[in-house]
Amino acid sequence: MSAHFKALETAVSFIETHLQDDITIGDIAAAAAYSLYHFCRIFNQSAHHPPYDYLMRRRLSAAAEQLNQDDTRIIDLAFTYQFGSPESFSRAFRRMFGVLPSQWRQQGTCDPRVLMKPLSHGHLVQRNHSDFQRPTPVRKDEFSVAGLMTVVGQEGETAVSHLQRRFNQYPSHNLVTIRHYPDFWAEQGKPVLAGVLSETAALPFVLQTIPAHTYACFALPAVAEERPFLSDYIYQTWLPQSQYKLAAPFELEQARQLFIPIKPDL
Amino acid sequence: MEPRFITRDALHLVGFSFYGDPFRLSPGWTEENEIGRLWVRFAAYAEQRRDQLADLVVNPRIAYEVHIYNEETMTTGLFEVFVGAELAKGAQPSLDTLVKVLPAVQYAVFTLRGEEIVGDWPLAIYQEWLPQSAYEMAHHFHIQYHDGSFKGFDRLSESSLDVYVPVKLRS
Repeated sequence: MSAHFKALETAVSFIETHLQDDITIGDIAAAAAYSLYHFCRIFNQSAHHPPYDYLMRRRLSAAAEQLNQDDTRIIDLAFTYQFGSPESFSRAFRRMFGVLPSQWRQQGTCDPRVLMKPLSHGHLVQRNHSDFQRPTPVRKDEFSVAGLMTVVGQEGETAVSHLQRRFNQYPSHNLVTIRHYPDFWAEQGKPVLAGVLSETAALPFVLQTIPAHTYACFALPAVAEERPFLSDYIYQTWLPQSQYKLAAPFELEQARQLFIPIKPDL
Repeated sequence: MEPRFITRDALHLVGFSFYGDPFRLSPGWTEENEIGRLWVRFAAYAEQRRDQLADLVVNPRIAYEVHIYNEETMTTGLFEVFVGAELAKGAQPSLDTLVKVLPAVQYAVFTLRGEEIVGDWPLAIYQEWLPQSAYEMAHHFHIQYHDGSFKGFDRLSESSLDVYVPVKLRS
């Protein structure tokens, strides 16, 4: 597998330096020193993306970031990122992000979870663990959590751990952490509630009730540093390829599992 | 990797086809990817018509997996895979099958053995052997010829597989 990883890292690096160039999957396979056929198989196997899908998502993500950073005209971005026409750029953009490039720019902010990041060695390791499993949908009835809430920035997982430790005396299967992702979370942080399953809450605790949902359930990595790779896998790879979309903007952590509320993408 | 050469008349195959990235669902050597699904469909079709198969195909024990590249393939990685058997002369294939006609051509035939079958043999053929040979590609497809020598991915060490690459002398 390590030989494959090395080749794929070469391929990813080649893609990154040629996002704005007219490259083909054949060129990328050649950079990785594989035949096109073998490269497509290996890339799908290790990255969980068809290579062309990954190239398009990287181009669209780079274009999306640029839309919010400068005033480059949309027509110029379309040609810069090799979409051939503003129409095909807009179509692909809306397919990936659900809005047109002009609407994206107007919003001026975005949920960074949906931007495809360049695949790193860490991403490949996370996706190729021997115990890696795709999620299965599970149903959870309405429940309530009594706990403490804080707002944390993108680098705020330490604060979350600190909150979680406040409830260490409770049985671990009753401990729940809810991370909310409102529209403004990238700029202003995400509200996080850590607590225990409970019907009531006495001060200083707050009570939050989560309605019944269907969730995609993922095993949390044993190593905390791998958690961002799981998040990238969920939002950038699994969700777009699944037949689901997000049902609500929060994540639930319980018993070493991460639950993402989903609904069918009709 | 040295081939032997044969020339074949136009080949009429009856079977099933897929176009796209066949490894999108599952990249492994399993029935879960689109190539595996084609084989499952073809096997089920052959089983359902076991009694008529001798009239429909030239040799029910020989099957073909054909990978066909087009102008888009190098750009997108998408290609066609066809799995089928050689259609008998005058036979009428049913509506749920497709017929693929491969042109009369000379083939370089490479025999892959054991682990070579799951290795990067296209690289060895197209980027190592071909540029050093007196030949060039005649068409953008190749055939995996299944005559029973391939015993399955769980018995690779006992297996061999012939790959037919259409070639012509370099002009």
